[in-house]
This record gives sequence, C-alpha cells and structure tokens, in this order.
Amino acid sequence: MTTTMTCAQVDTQLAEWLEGTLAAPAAHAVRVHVAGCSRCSAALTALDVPLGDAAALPELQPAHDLWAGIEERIATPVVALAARPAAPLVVRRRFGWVAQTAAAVALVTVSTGTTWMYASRVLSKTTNEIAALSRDEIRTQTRESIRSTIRGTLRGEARAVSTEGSLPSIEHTYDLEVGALRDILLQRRAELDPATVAVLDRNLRLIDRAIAESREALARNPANQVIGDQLAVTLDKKLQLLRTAALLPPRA
Amino acid sequence: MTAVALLDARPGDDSSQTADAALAAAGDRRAFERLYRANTGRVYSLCMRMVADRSLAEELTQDVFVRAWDKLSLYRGESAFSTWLHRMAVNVVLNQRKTAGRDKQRFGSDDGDMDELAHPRSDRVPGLRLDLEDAIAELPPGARRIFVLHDVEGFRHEEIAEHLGITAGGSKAQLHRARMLLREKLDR
Repeated sequence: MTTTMTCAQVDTQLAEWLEGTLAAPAAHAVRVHVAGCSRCSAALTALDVPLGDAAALPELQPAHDLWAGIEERIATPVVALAARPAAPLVVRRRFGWVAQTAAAVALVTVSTGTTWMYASRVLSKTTNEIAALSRDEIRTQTRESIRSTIRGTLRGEARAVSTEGSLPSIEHTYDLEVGALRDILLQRRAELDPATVAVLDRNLRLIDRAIAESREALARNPANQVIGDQLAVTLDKKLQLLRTAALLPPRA
Repeated sequence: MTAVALLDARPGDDSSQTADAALAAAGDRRAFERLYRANTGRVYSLCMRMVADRSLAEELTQDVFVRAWDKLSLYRGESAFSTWLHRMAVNVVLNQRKTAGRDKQRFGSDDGDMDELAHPRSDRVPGLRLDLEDAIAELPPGARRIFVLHDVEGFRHEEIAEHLGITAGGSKAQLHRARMLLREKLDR
C-alpha cells in the first residue's frame, strides 16, 4: 500500500530524498507525489541541481599582500603559559617580558600617533576619500599591531611588569591610547551623525562593562588564560571601535 | 569525489610544496613565504566566502598561515600540503565562528551595529542584479558556511557535520535552503 503525501510533507522530506537516505517506503511516497505534482516537481528540479558555477568560482585574492603581517607574527612566537619555565628562571623570564613590553609600548605608542595623523588627514579630505581611507587603514593598523600586541602581552604578564614598577604596564599604555582616541572622538562629536554617536556610546558602554567584568574575573583567577584572552579581545574591540569612530566621515 | 580527493588533484600542489614545508618546519621563512604565495588565494577564497567580510577574511587568512607555521612539525607529508592547509583553514574559520558566538553572547544584539559601523556595505549598488559571489555573501551565515563547504569546496555532508558539530541531515537541510535562497536571489 502506498501512503500519499501532501506537499508540506514532501517539503520536509526533500533534503533526505535528494541525498538518497530516505527509507524506501517514504522515498516511494515522495516519488509518487512528485510525479503527479507540478509544484513539487519544479522545486525538486531546482534544488537537486547544484548551482553549476559554484564549484568553478575563481580564486579570490586579498586586497593587499598579507605576508608582512604573517612574517611579523611568526617572527615573535607567543610562548604558552604552561610551557614557560617556573621559578628558577625568574631573571631570564623577566628580561624576556621587559623586551616584549618595550616592543608593545612602542607599537601602541606609534599606532596612537598614527591615528592622530590619520585623523588630521581625514579632516581635510572629501567624504569619499575618507571612507576609502578608513577601511584600508583600520584594517592594516588596528588588526595587525594592536591585536597581536595585546593578545601576546596582556595574558597576566603585564600585571607582573606593572607591579615591579620598572616599566609602564601594557594596560596603562592601552589606557593612554584609549584616552587619546576618546579625545579625538570628543573633538569630532559635533560633526558626526547623532544616530551614529548614539550607537557608539551604547557599544562603548557595553564594552566597558565587559572589560570590567573580565578584569574582575581575572583578579579572582589570574592564571585563567581564557579570561585573559577574553579581556584581550574585548580591549581590542574597544580600540577598534574608537579608531573606527575617530576616522568616521563627518555628516553630509 | 570528496574534498580531499578534489584538493589532491589540484595542479601546482607538487613535491616542491612538500619540500618547502620541510624547509619551513626547520625554520626557513623564505620557504614558508613560497608556500604562502602558492596557497594564499585558496585560503583567502575559503575565508572570504565563509565569513563574507573582507577585513575579517584577511585576518583569518593570516591566522591560518601563522597556525600552519606553528604546526608545521606535525605535517608528515602524507597528504598534499594544500590539503593539510585547507583543513586547517576550515578549522580556523569555524573556530572563529565559535569565538564570535561567545563575543555576541557578551555584547548582545548590539554587536551587529558595531559590525555594520566597522564594515559599511557601501560597495553594494541598489537595484543591480547580484552575481553568484554577491548572492553567497548575502546568505544567512549558517546556510552560507554549508553551501561554501559543500558546493564550492566539495566537502561531503558527513565531513561538514563533523566540522560543525551538527547532523548530516542538518547539513543537507541547510544546503537546500541555501540553494533555494540563492536561486531566488539570482532570479530577482
């Protein structure tokens, strides 16, 4: 006996049927229904045939060469916390972090200056030029240097450096960067679209809350790498947002 | 034919890449740069089509190669280097999805506002007929990932299901949904 199916029932079985994994009785019922139903027959034909061009889509290329960023990252590998030697090698470890911290400070400081420079340039460009400039330069600046810097150095190690008092901590440098960007934003606030400013403020509040939560969690559990990563990502997000905001074109 | 077989059959992925992989594993960055030059298009294409965001795709492409550099000692030359790299690329992209999911949980629905702010889609011309590439980019993320993995990259549903932590049936359903949406977009 053949069970008759409705169009709705066939719809739910089509995917399995097309793959040939439907049980024999159900498959037969689908076949019978489709043979007598123009609507389901047409749908089946459309779905069964892969979009012919999909497998032959051409290779895409990034807008710019990514090798420099890759080379920079592979030249300075991040050592896993668990893999680092413990107490007996304190001096050696400290020198390592001093060097890394100095590099990070330099990176962040340079990037702050660059952002200021970009912002100045932005103010003298037309809207279209600004839009193009922003996308390219945010991509190359923010994601490269800041992310690798913060990710690589904030995982608990910055705390050690700051408590020793020998160098400004990464977090302190980060705060300076954020402060500088906030100043740019403050200066430009009146010229930005109010709706955009509202979105910015809302997102900054959310990010600040997330940062505060991560810092509290990290204070309770300083060795937790996941929380450290989360904090780094969140700080990175804030920098990205502020940089984006600092480079937004003025409203028309 | 599976994705692995398809990849192994690709021209240009010859013994020179295996040799370069061995050199790179010993620390030769120039050899690794050659591997980058030979494979960057494929990796970037995968990333771009999976995430539909140029900036994020570039970042992920870099992540893939950095991860490959870190893991080169594990590459035994049993499959073509491009196959090994491609699998790594899929993992990196899918892991990014999980991380992004965690971020979204933290930041809530406003994350969308921020993404739009950071990556305005100003390059889209209203009214212009979409080509396949644009239509893929406009698919919902879940359907897009499965469409790209299956129809573009040649993975089987079982492989996709394993990668994504879903059932093969779920993968099939998403694929057909993606195809249906694409046809609608392309016929507009």
